[in-house]
Amino acid sequence: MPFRDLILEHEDKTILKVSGLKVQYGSFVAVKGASFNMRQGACGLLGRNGAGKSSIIRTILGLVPPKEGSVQVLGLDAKKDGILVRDRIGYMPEKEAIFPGLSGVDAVSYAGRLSGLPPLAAKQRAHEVLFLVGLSEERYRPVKGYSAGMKQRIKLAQALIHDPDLLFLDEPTNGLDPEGRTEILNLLRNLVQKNGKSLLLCSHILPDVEGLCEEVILMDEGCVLRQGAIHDMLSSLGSLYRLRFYGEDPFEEWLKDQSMIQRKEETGELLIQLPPEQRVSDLFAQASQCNAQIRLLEPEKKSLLDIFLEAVQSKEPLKEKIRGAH
Amino acid sequence: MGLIDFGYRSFSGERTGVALRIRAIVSQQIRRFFGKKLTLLFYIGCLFPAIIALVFVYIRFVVIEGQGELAGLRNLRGLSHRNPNTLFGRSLEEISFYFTPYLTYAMPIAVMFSAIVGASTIPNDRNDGALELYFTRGIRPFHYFFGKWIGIFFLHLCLILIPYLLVWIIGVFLAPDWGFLQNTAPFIPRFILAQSLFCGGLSFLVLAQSVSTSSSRFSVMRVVGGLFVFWVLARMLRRFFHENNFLVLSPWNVLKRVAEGIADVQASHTFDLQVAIIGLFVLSLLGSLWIFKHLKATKAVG
Repeated sequence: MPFRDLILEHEDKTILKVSGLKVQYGSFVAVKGASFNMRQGACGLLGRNGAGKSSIIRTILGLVPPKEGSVQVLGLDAKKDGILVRDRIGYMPEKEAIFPGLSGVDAVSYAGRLSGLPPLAAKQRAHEVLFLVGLSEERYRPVKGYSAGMKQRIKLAQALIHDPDLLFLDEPTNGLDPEGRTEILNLLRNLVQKNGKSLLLCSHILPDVEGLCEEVILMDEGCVLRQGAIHDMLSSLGSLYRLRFYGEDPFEEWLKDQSMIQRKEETGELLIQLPPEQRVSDLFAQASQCNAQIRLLEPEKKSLLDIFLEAVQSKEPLKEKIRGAH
Repeated sequence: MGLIDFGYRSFSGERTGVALRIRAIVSQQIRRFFGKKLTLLFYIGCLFPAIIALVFVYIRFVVIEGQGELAGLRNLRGLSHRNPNTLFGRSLEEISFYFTPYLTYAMPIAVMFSAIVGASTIPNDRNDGALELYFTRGIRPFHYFFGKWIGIFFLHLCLILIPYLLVWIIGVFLAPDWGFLQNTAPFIPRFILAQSLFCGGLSFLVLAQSVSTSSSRFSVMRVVGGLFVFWVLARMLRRFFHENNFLVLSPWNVLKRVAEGIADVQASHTFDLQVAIIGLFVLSLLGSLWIFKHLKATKAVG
């Protein structure tokens, strides 16, 4: 059965299913029973450094054996059908990864041959994808002499050469100038929207993820904190306001007691989240009681950063509980 | 560096099997070797023993036995000072005597050189992050190692087997009759098998030890130092205990003894062939276990 038909078999378009995944390096547990589903399209994988994002990707690709759990990619078991799965995945690693001693076109073509392209097709496609990622003029130069941005582009070309259905991109816009970043993001958007590719994007540049992905998976300390459509998450955040006041401290204490303060800016302004049971007029009333004057109160545009911070902060009490139990 | 958008084209053809992917690794390995000026120069240098052997064959069959009667070769008779059994006034045995030390040591040097090239292959890949690229493609670590092994094995063969086979073939055609072919042909399959085992065994051990490090220098030092230390140790123990079988401690001796056993030539080391075969088996097993444990793109941390 052709591989693309396997994808279509899934009515809910789930292309990646991770269940109870545990990854361990020696005594250090990098991923603690992570479970999530990824649907066709673009999905962001977010988390702080050491959250376990790269470990999950490496496990799916078979670079690291899982301690527990299972991974299904495009309807196939990643462990049993490793070669078949990897033939359909394009991986762009975060760190420098090149085939030594080769020119750009040779490196990309070689990557294609390793993924099962016949030699002639690999060469043809190598030229095409190098044009696509913007390395047409530099394709005969040795990769060793490429700049950081060019190396990012050639890694993307290597990930695309064998026409994968699913792309794993680890920090794809690192080292790119603003213009290059926009170009690559547009290229990725086209791949998703016009060519039906799916991609899992790991990045610390949250605007990139927000601009490209429909879904996001939030991770911290080896656990999946939250998963879902970015739009739904943003609307679930409630009303976020930027507040500046003049006056007594009791008002700020009251805000803290109500767990409204999301963060305090360097300017002294507060980012507060108004719970559904509270109204703006209640804030003014409370400020008046505390002898404080509200000088600024404006709705704040919510971003992926707010979702991420909110998810991480909401995890803190849970961590405290766990520490207490121990 | 603007994007020229020709659009993205899907690939609809058949994918190749694992064998062709391994072949890609082998050809890449060979291309990389011959693509560097330094290694190419050394390779040409390593061909000198074969060139000297070719000259001897030529002198024997054309100048001495053939009396320079082949077309275009008559002028060479002048070199023999009108004495058909000499060259530059010296006999063939005398000339070969002066070349003996060079011919004796040229072969191990050539083998060591290709061993050094082999020892740095996988560490270089690990250092450049290529190992991660290989293992996220449609091949298994075993396929990767196998491809690299065949590549290094072929380089060994290019140095110590193929040139001499070519000399032999040329000798067959230069000889005035079929006597040379009749005398040497039965020995050739054994020679090929013995050289193949020696090259294959050495390249396997060299590559296997290198999978655990990302430093090519350390790997090369470990190969050269390891071979030397075990060779010295084996000789010391043999002298101390007056027991030839202690030579089995040296991988070099083991490979050489088994190869000599296959070629059915007089052994340079007088220890049992059976002990050498057991030694080879143990070395292969240890090498395989080492590969299984260390050939990973990601090393465990923490």
